[in-house]
Parts: sequence; structure tokens; C-alpha cells
Amino acid sequence: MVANQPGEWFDQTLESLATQSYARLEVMVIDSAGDPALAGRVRAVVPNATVLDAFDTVGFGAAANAVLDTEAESAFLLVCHDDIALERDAVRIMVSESLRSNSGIVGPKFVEWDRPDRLQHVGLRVDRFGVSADVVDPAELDQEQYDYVSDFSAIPTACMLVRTDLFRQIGGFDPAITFRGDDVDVCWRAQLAGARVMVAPDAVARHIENLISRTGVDDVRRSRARHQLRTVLSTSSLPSLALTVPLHAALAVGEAIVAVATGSFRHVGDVLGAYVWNLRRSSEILRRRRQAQADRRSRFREVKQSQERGSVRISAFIRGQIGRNRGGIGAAGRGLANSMRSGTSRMAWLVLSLIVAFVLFGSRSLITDGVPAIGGFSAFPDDPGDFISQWWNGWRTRDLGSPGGVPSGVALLGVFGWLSGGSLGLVRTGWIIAPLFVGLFGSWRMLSPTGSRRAQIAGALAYVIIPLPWASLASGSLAGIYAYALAPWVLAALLKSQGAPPHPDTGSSAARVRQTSLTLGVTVAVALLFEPTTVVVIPIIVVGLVIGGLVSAHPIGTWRLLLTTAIGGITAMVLSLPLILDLLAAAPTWDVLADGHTGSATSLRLDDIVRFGVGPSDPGPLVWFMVVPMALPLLVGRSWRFDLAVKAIMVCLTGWGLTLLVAVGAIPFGLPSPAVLLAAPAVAVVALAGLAVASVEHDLRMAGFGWRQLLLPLAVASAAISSVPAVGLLQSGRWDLGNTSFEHSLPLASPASDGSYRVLWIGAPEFLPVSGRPLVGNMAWTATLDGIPTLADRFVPADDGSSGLIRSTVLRAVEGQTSRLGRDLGGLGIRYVVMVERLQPSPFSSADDAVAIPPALVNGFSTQLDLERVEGTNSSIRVFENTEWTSVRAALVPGFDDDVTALFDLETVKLPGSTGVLAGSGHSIRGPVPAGTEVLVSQSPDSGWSLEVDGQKTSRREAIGWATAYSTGSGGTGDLVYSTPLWRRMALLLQVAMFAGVAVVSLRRLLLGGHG
Amino acid sequence: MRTIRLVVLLAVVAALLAAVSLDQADRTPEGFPAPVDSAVAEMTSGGATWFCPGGSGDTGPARAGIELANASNSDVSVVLTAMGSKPETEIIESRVTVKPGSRTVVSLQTLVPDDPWSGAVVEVSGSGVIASQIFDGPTGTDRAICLTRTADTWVVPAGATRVESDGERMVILLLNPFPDDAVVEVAFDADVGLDSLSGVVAPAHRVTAIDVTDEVTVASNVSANIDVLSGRLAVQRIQTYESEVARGLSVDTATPIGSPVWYLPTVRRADGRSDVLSVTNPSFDQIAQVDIEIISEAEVPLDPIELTVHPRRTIRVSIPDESRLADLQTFTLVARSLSATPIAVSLDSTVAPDGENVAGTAAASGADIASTSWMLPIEATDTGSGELVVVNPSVVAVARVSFTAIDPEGRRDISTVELGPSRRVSIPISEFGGTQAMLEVISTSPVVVGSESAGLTSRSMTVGVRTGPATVFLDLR
Repeated sequence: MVANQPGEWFDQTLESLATQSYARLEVMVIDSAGDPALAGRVRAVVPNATVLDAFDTVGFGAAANAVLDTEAESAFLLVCHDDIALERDAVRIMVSESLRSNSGIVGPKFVEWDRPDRLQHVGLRVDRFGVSADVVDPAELDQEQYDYVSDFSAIPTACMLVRTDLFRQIGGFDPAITFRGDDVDVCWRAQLAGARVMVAPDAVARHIENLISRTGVDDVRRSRARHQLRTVLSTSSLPSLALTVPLHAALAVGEAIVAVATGSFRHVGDVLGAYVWNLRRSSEILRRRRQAQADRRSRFREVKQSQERGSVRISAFIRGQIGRNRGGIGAAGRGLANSMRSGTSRMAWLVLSLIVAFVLFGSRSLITDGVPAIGGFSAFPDDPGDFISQWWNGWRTRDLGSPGGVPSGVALLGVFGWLSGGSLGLVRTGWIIAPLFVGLFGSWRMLSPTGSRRAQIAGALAYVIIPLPWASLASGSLAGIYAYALAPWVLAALLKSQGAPPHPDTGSSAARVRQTSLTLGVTVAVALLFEPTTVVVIPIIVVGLVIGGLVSAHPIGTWRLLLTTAIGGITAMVLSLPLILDLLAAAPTWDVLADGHTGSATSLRLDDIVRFGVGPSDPGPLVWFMVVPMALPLLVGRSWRFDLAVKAIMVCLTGWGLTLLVAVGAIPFGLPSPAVLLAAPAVAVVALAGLAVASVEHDLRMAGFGWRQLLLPLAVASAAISSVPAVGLLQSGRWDLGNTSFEHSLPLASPASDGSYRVLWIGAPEFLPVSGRPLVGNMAWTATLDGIPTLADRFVPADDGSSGLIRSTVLRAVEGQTSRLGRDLGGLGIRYVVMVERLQPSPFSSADDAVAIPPALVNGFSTQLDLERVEGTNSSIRVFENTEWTSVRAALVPGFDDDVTALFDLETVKLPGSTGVLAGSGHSIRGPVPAGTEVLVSQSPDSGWSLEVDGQKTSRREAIGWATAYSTGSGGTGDLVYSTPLWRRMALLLQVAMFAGVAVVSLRRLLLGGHG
Repeated sequence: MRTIRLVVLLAVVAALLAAVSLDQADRTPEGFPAPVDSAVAEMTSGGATWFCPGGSGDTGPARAGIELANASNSDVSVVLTAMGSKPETEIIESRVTVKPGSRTVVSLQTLVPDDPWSGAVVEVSGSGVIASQIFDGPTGTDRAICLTRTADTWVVPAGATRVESDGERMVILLLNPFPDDAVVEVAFDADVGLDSLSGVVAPAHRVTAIDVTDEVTVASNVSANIDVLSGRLAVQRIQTYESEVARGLSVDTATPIGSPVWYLPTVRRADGRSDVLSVTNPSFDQIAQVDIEIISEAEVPLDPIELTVHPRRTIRVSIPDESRLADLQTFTLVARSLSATPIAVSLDSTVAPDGENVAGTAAASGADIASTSWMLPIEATDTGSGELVVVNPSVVAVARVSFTAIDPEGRRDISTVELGPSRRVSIPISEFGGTQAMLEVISTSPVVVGSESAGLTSRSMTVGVRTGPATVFLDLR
């Protein structure tokens, strides 16, 4: 018997041994705690008992193994805990059964200590993952229903009769398994050694089983996870491991995801940390595997046959066997199972599951058919390596080309593409859909300080009821989706930074600012990896919170809020080092954030703004019903519910107000699309929905009967009504996003035939295939190389390069200053002009949603003598082909531009005939170049570019007033190569290192549950 | 708590009310300057492209030359691209430098010698050059300022095809300067009935001639509505007369756009002279109620002539037949569509050979805009006559108008006149001196400028070239 400072019950335990009918029983008590009084207590009851000192061991198994060092020569060992009391015949019955059935290990029927009529254990069911569960249900009444001898996968170590030779053969218990899991491990190894494991139910033992209260440590989940995996790794056959380990990992990931969703990061650490723990002990495990192999007398298959099929954890949960309150520290309900067993938590899980199902079902067509390249949902290249290459090589081909890298998120998507085995379509769908879940989780976390699971449920429901994300999806606004995903995290971090209730006021202000600013900075930096324009969310929230604090007369933590914002901003900038360096290296341009908008007035009305109706379809009047639950915390909330509600409503008003100011043209510069600007107010509405529930729970219940009581049913009914539009969107399975992109509507030539060319896109910013640069009014432009752009072209480069020439050229045509626009555009390598009037081709878009190209613009292009309207294209677009285009890389006679000092001179001085060469894109282009010519490279001049012909570097000069011409000499194979500046690559590596550091720290915190 | 709650609710309500108010405010989206859709040729500072539908070959009714007049004080380089009507005709690009204050004529027959029809596109880098077409044919001569725009709808309000009885021939020239073919439908409204042409292809970089004489025969009045289904064109009418009562050549550009108000500055009533105003309603479904107002030197204003023009139809007003005009000699007509339905107008003038005045014919479209700055190439000969007419369309503003002549010797300020609201002034061209001067007209408020000239054997009418900002008549007070 292993004793560890046993309680007052210990005398009964000893007495039960002393009074056993089995005459040859010798009692050996192993003191694992070094208790000096223990020997006296033992001998007072069992005078001839032996007491061994094993205080230097850790755990039951290691202590019990002390018996192996003794001279014990009995045929059987009865290994037991110090909190059992055996009935008088128990040992005799077990010995008899062992002899009769030739079993190696025999256990009794365990009943509860204080209620012997209640079953505790009658053997354990164990699955292939080493997870065990009781055969009996919790507190099941003992009606002799299990009173028959039976084999089991394992029996509890609380009391087991084991053959001494077997015990010695298998080396006793695994000493590394301190508590929990030692039973499964020893029984499996006994079975491998050819022994049967049985329960003799006529032998009865009362059992206290309250380890946590005795050790004071609630590490059940962690130690079980570690030990179960250890047992699997050290006892399973290799073929079995090949299947078991991946399945185990999948289950672990699933459990971790659920744990993340419930905010139980420590749980995640426990589950995933089991792998780390076992990896560190891999040599021990290998040794034990070898030992098990040496001892093996049974086939693995025979052992496996005794195991449960499927997952014991899942079946046990269904049966309610796990997650029950065992008292002690674990009673707090932090575990996954516990969290799922409370009423509200079950409801939470149900609702979250429904919400996830709602999003997935609503996106079913997008998931199965893929997302067409519409608006901001840029196309992906065929090769994920293109993303990495463009990120690493630091040259942007869009517009007229410029130095600078694509955001590192693009490279990350390339990595995902590789990891997915080239399934870029899957990655692309995830790139668009996944942020919705990130935002959903953020909303859940945002409301967790309220302490109300119902509030979190309400917030999560509001998150999907609000039309904004679906409008963003339908309108191809990727920035809108990412802003909506970012906003709850930002709002949560900034609220936490203020330290106002209900956020716990723990730690110093400096510590809180440090922690929240880091969180904010990392969060924003991650968003910047994918969508730079989403940063607009931050000032809207900050302003709203500050105003809210002032209006509610509780400006607690305003300075901390501002300080957090500032430090968080700096942190984000540091983590976004390449982007910041690009901005600093070039003249800072607002175009990066304007997303093609000029600040001109739009047709967006207040009604649409408040209802978040920024998509192609009107969300309808039912969304107005959302006002009722929004107003509830303002009307009945008290204390922090009211303060938070005021802040939330001020964030709403700030976001709505800013969007309205933009819509009426009161902001003199361009801001991102309304879907981005409205992300903050939308998430504030989510917060208000949660606060409405919190107010009901805290305040409405306390109020006397009156008008306030009517608000509850009214709010519930209103919320239900306001959800109708979102439910209605489920029908299409794609949130009303169209089925096709312009890719199939554009008659663009292959660059392989005549050389690379540019396409000039003009239209409303939201219709362009990549983020545009402002033109005039509601029009934006962009230029892309060789046809349909990909995601790498999506972001506006920090460095304009010579791109201003395109705008100037377009305006010349509009102002009637030229009728030879084609020659000007030809000098810029532009072959096609595509005017986009709708988000997607007809008939997948309505004329009502069109933004017509201004007549002046159409007229300016239609009256050009060298632009040919391409007939037969979709009615959503106008396509002009430039009859006087010159390839982006063209071979011409030397001195071809002798009379041209500026681009616009081409209007009167026509370039001689040219041949397209070096077709393609990227930082290194190879191809034959003819002798005795000059290669005109129509892109922003940059000293990093050089042309080598047959390995010889060629001379270069400025050409046609802005571009570069290289002399080809005797011709040959040309290599046009861009040398990326070292500092840019260093910045990229530094960014990767910083994010890796952040990831490691975060992972460490997750795995070690904050102990690391 | 209650007070704070009240304050918060009031703040929210106030913010929403402010937002509603802001939402109601007028929104003026920033945008491109609205294009001035005017029939009047314009000359911008950044350069101009002139579309000259041209004329016939040597054996045709109107041999054409392009006259380039440089009103600037420096050499101007001009690229003239001549194009013919036959597919095999090569497109000829000619580079011409025009000296300051002088004129240069390029013969289209020289550039496109073997083509029955030829036209040109004139591209001017910089400002100051006006491109005009000068015509010479068996029945007379004429001149017409080239167009500075192309369009997809055109109206030819007047014409006649009584070739056997009156020697009237009518040809419509379609110049397609663009790289893609255009497809045209033409609807004729004639006194002999309606007719149409469908699917006329105007090939890219070609001149296409439609001989209306062959399409609508024996019509004393023909008008044409030209709808360009695909592409854009520049359109011009060539009209010849060869009879005892009328002999001459009239060339005028078609009207690219309808407008509710048109000014015809130079209308005259004289013995042997017959001016006919044609008013066309190009609309498909709206009736135009049109008043023809008269601006003259008479003290007593005359009642307008009231017309009702049905869709796609043309009404003609014979000036000699209008008794209320019997006491007038020179005047200006204003065609005003009361229902704001756009209309198109043209004035055809015929002077019989046996009268006191120089015989011949002339035609001109009106002006649909006013401006403060105009330019006009004038022909002042010792033997010929002519007048420059300036009209102040405003009903309140007084226009102070100054005239400057520009010739190879430089700029000469000629005179300044003050023009009251709704008044006109007619100045003999001979007062401006020189034989081939460019006349610049600058005014303190928008005016309309036109001229009429008569040589030894021919007549011509034209509206000036706008060089300043355009003002739509409806915006004038």
C-alpha cells in the first residue's frame, strides 16, 4: 500500500487489511511522503506491517515499484492506494479468481466510500488512444448488475492483485507516469506479456478517490494527456502507431480548437503540450518499447481486441461519464467537458455550432465551387512559388512598376499553398472565408469579461445577423471582411487597456498597457500582413471610446487607452518593418490607404450606412429591428453595462458619422471603402447585443415590474426579426456573390505572341480587380501586367514609381488635349483599356448596382484616333485596344526616340515599328534579343534593373522621357534582372524573425498555460 | 445615473438628427468637367484635332482643300492625315508648319489623287490653328470650318435632290477617322415621303459618301437623321444648285447634337435672296414646340414664329414669306424649344443670279452655345462684301466686345463695341482690313459670333470657333 499522508480514514483502510480472511496476507506500507508518524499509525493497527520509506519518489507508480527492491517472495502482490477499505473476503476472492482464471491482474468492484450502494469502478474501458472510462455510470446504483467475472482493458490501481512474477517481468509501474494513466499502462503491458486483466466483482472495495484535494494540484487533464500518449507510444505496434498517432493528433487538434473557442487556452496547452512532453522523453519511450517487445507474449492484435473501438472520450461524454464535478480546484469548470455540461455552456456550444454551420452552409457554393475573382477577391497564380518570389524579390509590376514588396501575408499564403500540396484554390477560399471565424472568435472573446455566457452567445448571434460581412462578401470587399475580423480584437484590447469594469483591475497600469499594447500591436500587424487598409478601424474605435468615456462621465483609463494605441501602433509598425521602410524610402503616398477613393461624394445614404447596407443588395427594413436590443443596455443598463454600452454606441456613431462624412464628400481625402469604415460600428453593435443580455441578467432582473420588463420580449422578438435578412441570404450558398469573373469576358491577347503588355483598368474602386489609385470623382485606375492580375498585384505600392504618368495621360484625353491617347499609352506599354462599370459581368450583376463611367471619360477615350473599341464584350465593361501600343519590353532601332524628350511628344512623333521581347513578369526575365537594337523597357526606372546579353552587361539610357532603353549590341540571349537591395531582404528576414518570435512566445504561453 | 443616462440618450438623438440633416444636404460628387456637347468648333489651349469630312475628287461637285490658319505668334506644327473613300487608297500623313498669322492650304486631291472622295484629320500640337475646308466646284465655291468633334448621332436639317429640274444634288459625307468600322442608319424626311438606309458601313480611316440624290429623288426638302450604331463619325453635307434661280455650292457640317436653343446670327432679307430656316426634331417620341425669335435693330420687338415639330420631322421657315419680317434687312434668329426638346437647325441662303447682290448659295448651322472668346478666319476682298455679326444673348448683361485682327504682321486691335442685352451688332468685314486675317473677338460676357461673306461669285456663312469657355444659353440670364 502506497501511503501519502493519509487522512483519518487510514485506520479503516488498515483495519480492512488486518481483518482479511486471506490468511497469508502480509502488509507493506510504502511511505511516499516521508511522514514520520506513518509507521506508528500503521503499526498501531497492523503490528507486523512493514513500512518502507520512499519519500524520494514521485507518484504512485514509482513508489509502488519500491516493492521490487524488497525480498518479497509471495506469489501475488496486492497493490493499493491508502484510501480504500476492502471487504473481508476481497483478497481471498481475488486470489482465487486469479488462480482459477489464470489472470495476471485482478481487481475488485469499487464502491463509493460513504455510499457503498453506489458503484465507483468495475473495470475500465480503454480505446486505442489510451483514454479510459468507467464501465459504470457516475453514481450508478449497485444492483449487482456487474457481478460477474470479466476481462477488461484495465482496472484502477486503487486496488489490484497482480502476480509478483508478472509485476517483476514488466518492471512494475512506469515511474514517469506519476498519477493518472498508470492503470492503463501497467495493464496494457501485462496484457502484452500474456496476462489477463480481470475484475472479480465479489471482491468489494470502498474507495475515497480524491487525489486533487490531497495534492492541491489540479493537473488531471495535463497529466492524463501526457500519460495516455506515453502509453500509446511505448506499447503499441508500429503499424498501429502509424494510424493511431495521426488520429490522436487530429483529435488533439480538434479538442484544441474547441478549447480555443471556449477561451480555455490552458486546455490547449495541456492537449498539445502532451506531444512536447513525450518528445522530450523519446529516449525513455524507445527504451520502454524495447522492454515491452522483449516481454511480449501476446500479439498486439489480441491486446487490441480488448480495446474499445472508436473514442472512449466521446462515448463517455455522451454517457456523461466525464466532466462531472470531482470537487477541488477542478470544480471551477475550466475543463472542456465541464464547460460543456453546464446549461448555458451547452447552449453556447450549440449556438456556436449553429453559427459555424450557418456560415459554412451559407458559403457552401463558395467552398465547393471556389470563389470567383471578383473585386477584392483577387485571383491566385497557378504556382504558390510566385507569391514567395514576389515577396522576396521586392519589385512590384503593377501600374508602371516600382520597388517594394508585397505584404508578407501574400508569402504566407504561398507557404500555405505549398503545405496544401498546391491546392491554392482551397487556400484562397480559406483566405476569404476564414477571417469570418477569426472575427467570430474575437467577438466571443471580446464579451468574455462580462462573465456571461449568454452575453457571448448574443454577441456571436449578432455577429452573423449584421449584414456587413455578407455585404462585404457579396461586393467582393476583402478589406471589409478583414476589417470586420480585426475590429473585435481591437475593441477588446482597447477596452482591456482601460481597465474599467468588468475587466479585472489586476496588475499595474504599466503592465496592463504593456500587455494590451503588445496584443494590439501584434493583432494589427497580422492584419497588415493581409490588408493594410484595415488599420482605419483603430482610430474609429479609439475616438468612439474616448467620446464614450467622456459622455458617460466615466473616462477611466483614457490615458491608458491612448498610450496603448500609441505603443500598439509603434509595435505594429515595427512588426511591419518592410512596409514601413517602403513608405519611408518613397515619398509617402496616401494611395496606400485610400483604396482608390478620392474623397468625392457618393450616393451612399445614412439609411444604408446605419443598416450596414453596403452590398449590392439591400438588406431590407427588418435590420432596423436591431435597434431595440442595441438600445436596451442604454435604457436599463447600470454600472459597467451602461458605461460599456455608451462606449459602444459612441463607436457606432463615430463609425457611422465618418462614413456619412465620406459619403457627402466632406472628407478632403480618400478613405477605404464603407465596408471597412463600418467594421468598427458593426462590432460595436455586436458588443451592444452582448451588453443587452448582460443588462437583462444583472439589471432588468433586479428592477421592479414596469416598462423595462417589456423590453426583454421586445428585444428578443426584434433580434429574431432582424435576423431574417441574414437567414434569407442562405439561399444562394454564396451570399449573393456572382458566379463568374471578368476573366472570361476579356478578349486579351497572350503576351507570348506579341510581348508583354499592360492593361489599364478604370472604374469605381470597388469594381477594379486590384486596389486602385484615385483618378477623379468616384473613379480609380490601376494598370496590371499581362492580363488578369493576381493577389500579388492587389496592394497599392508605397512607391508610386512613374505611375503618375498614367493619370496625367488619362486626364489629357478627358480634357481634350489629345486625340492620340493611344500613342501616349503605347509609350507606357498599355495595350488594353478596360472600363469596368459593374462588380461582375452581366447577368450576374444588376444595372442598378452599376457605377457608370463618367461620360467625359468615355467620350475622351471614344474620340481617340488610335483606340479601337473592342466589340462584343460583356455589357459591364468597355474594352479599348490600343492600335499603337508598344510592348513593355520592345526592341527598336537605335535612336528610336531622338525627337522625343517627354512622353507626350509621342502624340506627334510616332515610334518606329517594334518587336516585343523578353515577355513575362517577375524579377528575372530571359529571352532572345535581336542584334543592333535597343530594348525599350517601359517601367519606372530603377538602378536595380540591368540587361545582360549573353552574359555581358549592356549600357542603358533614359528613353521617351521616362523609361529605360538598353543597347543589345550583337544580340543573343538577354537576361533582364532586378537586384533586390540587401536592406529590403534584411527587413523581410527581420520581420519573419519577429513574427516567429511572437509565435514562439504565444505558443509557449499556450502550451505552458502561462507558466512558461 | 438617471441624469447621465438622459445626457447620453440626448447625445445619441442629437447625433442622429445631425446625421439626418447632413444626409439631406446636397451632394456634389467631384467629377470630370462635364463635356461641352456643342456643335460649335472649339480650339483649346492644349491642342486640337480637326475633322474635315472633305470633298470630292477633280470630277466631283466640290474639290476640297484644307486651309490652316495660324492665329498664334509662333510656328505651329500640324499633322494632316488624308484619307479617301476607296479601300485601296493609302492613308497619307503630311506634316505642315504654319507660320504665325498666316494661312496654308493643303489640297486633298494632291494627297489623295485618285479617289472620288477624300477627307482629312488635322492634328495640331499647341493652340492657335483653325482648320477650314475650302471648296471649289462646277457650281461655285464655299468654305466651312472643320469639326472638332465626332459623334454617334448627326442631323442634316436641310437639303434638296431635284437634280433634273433644279440641278439640286445632295451628298452626305461620313468621315470615320477611327481604327474601327462604323455602322450607320440614316432616316430621311422629305417632302416626297420618308425613307431610310440601314446598315451603311463607314470603314475605318475612310470617307463614305451617301448620294442622297440617288436615295431620295426629286425632293425639294430633305432632312436626315443619322444614327451611328457602332463607332463615331464626322458628317458633312454638300449641296449643289444649278438652275436659273439658284446656282451655287453649299457645304456645311452636320449638327452632332440637338440643343433646345440655337442662334443663327446672320439672316438677311433682300431682293433675290431666299433664306430658309430648317428646324429638325431628332427625338423619337417628343414633340418640340419651337419659337423662332427675332433679334434685330428694330425698336419694337417682333412676335416669335411658333412652330410645332413632330419627332424625327423637319419644318422649314421661308424668311421671304414671313410678313412680320418684311421691314427687316439683317437680323438674327433664335430657335428656342419651349418644351426643352433638343432640336437642330440650319440656314440655307440662296441669292438669285439676276439680282443686285452677289449670286450664290450658302449654308450654315447655328450656334448652340455662347462664349466670351471667339476666333474667325475672315475673307475681306475689295470686290466682295461681308459682315461680322455679334449677338448678346443675355437679357441683363451688357457685353463689351473687342476685335483684334491677326495677320502675318501681327496683332492689331480694331475696335471695341458695347452690346446691350439681347442686341446684335453687324460690322462690315472690310473694316477689319487685310485680306486674310484672323479675327479674335473677346467679350466681357458670353456672345455669339458669326459671319457672312460674299466674293465675286459665291457666298459663305459660318459661326466662329470658340476659344473660351462655353456657356449654355439656358444658363444665361
